[in-house]
Amino acid sequence: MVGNRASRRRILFQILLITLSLSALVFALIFVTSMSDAIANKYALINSGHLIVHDRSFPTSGSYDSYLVGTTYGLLYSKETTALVFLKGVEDDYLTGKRKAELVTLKESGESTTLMKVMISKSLAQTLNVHPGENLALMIGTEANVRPALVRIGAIYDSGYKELDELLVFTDLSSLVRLCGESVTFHHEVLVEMDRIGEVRDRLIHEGYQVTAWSDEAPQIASNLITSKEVTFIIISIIGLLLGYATSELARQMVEDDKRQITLLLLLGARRRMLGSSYLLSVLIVTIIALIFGVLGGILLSYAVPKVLPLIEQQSFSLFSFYLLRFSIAVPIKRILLLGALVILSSTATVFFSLHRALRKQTIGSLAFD
Amino acid sequence: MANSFECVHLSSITKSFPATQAGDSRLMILEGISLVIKHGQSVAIVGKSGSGKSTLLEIAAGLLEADSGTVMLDGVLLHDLDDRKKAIFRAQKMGFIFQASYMLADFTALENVKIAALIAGSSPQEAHVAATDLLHRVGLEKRLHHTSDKLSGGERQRVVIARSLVNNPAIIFADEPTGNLDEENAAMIEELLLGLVKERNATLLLVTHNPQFASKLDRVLTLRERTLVEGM
Repeated sequence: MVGNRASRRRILFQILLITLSLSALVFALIFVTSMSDAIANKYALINSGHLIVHDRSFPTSGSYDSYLVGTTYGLLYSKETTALVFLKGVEDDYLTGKRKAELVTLKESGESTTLMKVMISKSLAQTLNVHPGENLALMIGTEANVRPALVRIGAIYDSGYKELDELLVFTDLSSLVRLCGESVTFHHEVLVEMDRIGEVRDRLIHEGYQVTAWSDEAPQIASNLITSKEVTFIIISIIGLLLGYATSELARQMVEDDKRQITLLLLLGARRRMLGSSYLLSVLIVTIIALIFGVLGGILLSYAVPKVLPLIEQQSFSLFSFYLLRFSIAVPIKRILLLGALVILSSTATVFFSLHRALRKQTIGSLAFD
Repeated sequence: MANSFECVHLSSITKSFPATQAGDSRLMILEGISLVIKHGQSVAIVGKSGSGKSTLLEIAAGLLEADSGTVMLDGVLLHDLDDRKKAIFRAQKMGFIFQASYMLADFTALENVKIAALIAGSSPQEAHVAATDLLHRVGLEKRLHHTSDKLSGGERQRVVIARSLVNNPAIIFADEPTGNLDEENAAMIEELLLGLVKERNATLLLVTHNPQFASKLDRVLTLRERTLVEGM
């Protein structure tokens, strides 16, 4: 009786170990994937669009969700410091729909002015130490012709991702064109679903347009995001394989606990292969149960953590300044299934060999005639 | 050479074990033992403690390798069988009863007997019917669904007897089957075992310290000074 209780405790402990480990792994996978995808989406929506059509003649109204944008670089001067900025002139309908969700307007100045109004990010405002309603000097122009202009801070926004919005300044397109003239470069930003970028790009190229994707405009960012997702998945997979290997210890313990019963069954004529299959199935059932609970635990944890992240964001910890802390959870089902498959395969293989070794050691003579 | 009437045929069995102290030569336990038991015969092996009775039984049952000699059971040379065939042979042709009643702890009396039938290849229904009948036969009809911790020593031994007979084996090997029981239970088990073995025309090879029990069998052999002699 004591032996059975001890054996049950060991099995429960193994289930708990696998469940907790897998919960952590699945959580990490979902977290990194969701954050990476959210950063990519934010770049695409705010910085450049999912696709950039470099033809000014591209229609803004049509079958594509496209927006005309004008951009240029400038130097912004405050009383205290200077910052190189990327000026983006947009039309009234630009910061609507999906984009609206990516930006939070923190402060606005309602004063009317003849000066060009700009909307700067919270991080840029902190760098320049400025507030809405203040004027800034802007140096703009071409190489041949640089001139200053005065602009007013109309609003301060926060995208949640300092890496992106540190230098990004929004303004009205017509005002930008009036002020900067020839130095403004025009293009259309086309919004599509992330997984359709390739398909739509090919279609646009086929239609005769010059098109680049957001990842072409920000290759370093795109590459880093892909790398972090892939490396995270590889590391998680390796840990998953090791977790599967750990179940072989459970198999060995089960055989050890049942030594006498196994010997008796061998004496009755049971074959080692028959017994091995039975134990392999038992361990696999334990592993699969733990796997299911682990995955569910990881998913639940993933949905709970975003409620905590805004609290961390409010504290403005410098440690987290390069992370996006506001994003929706996206569960990478295929990758989770692949992780589960790896755990099960690793478990099956290692348990098979462990059982083979353990059962080989069981001899009938040890029981038969004590 | 064995003939069709022979169930057990041991030929020139020799067995020794490593000496316990360094420098000593090997300890000879059995020397040139030959034994023939016919189908349906019950044979008791008696002898002093440590004379090698259990060793001889293990070798006859194919559970221990002899240093030399051959073992033929029901016309089959055990040496010719690989592990898989030995397991099948054990399941179908042999039954075992030990001094300690080795029941599978997590299983009921019925399941303990059924499992032996299932291992031998019976269908679940056949196994259920055979196991139930035998347990009724040994007087455990009210104990079918009890696990070993809920059975007395005598009841457990009856389960083991039923398990050993469920496949109608050719040979039953028993080592001190009543050694752990009180006098009353021992007598009951002795009667039950001998009665069932005779009923099924099985061959019985039994080791015992009890001369009264031994005398109830068809033959008594004494293991003395590494050899077998007829009588007590």
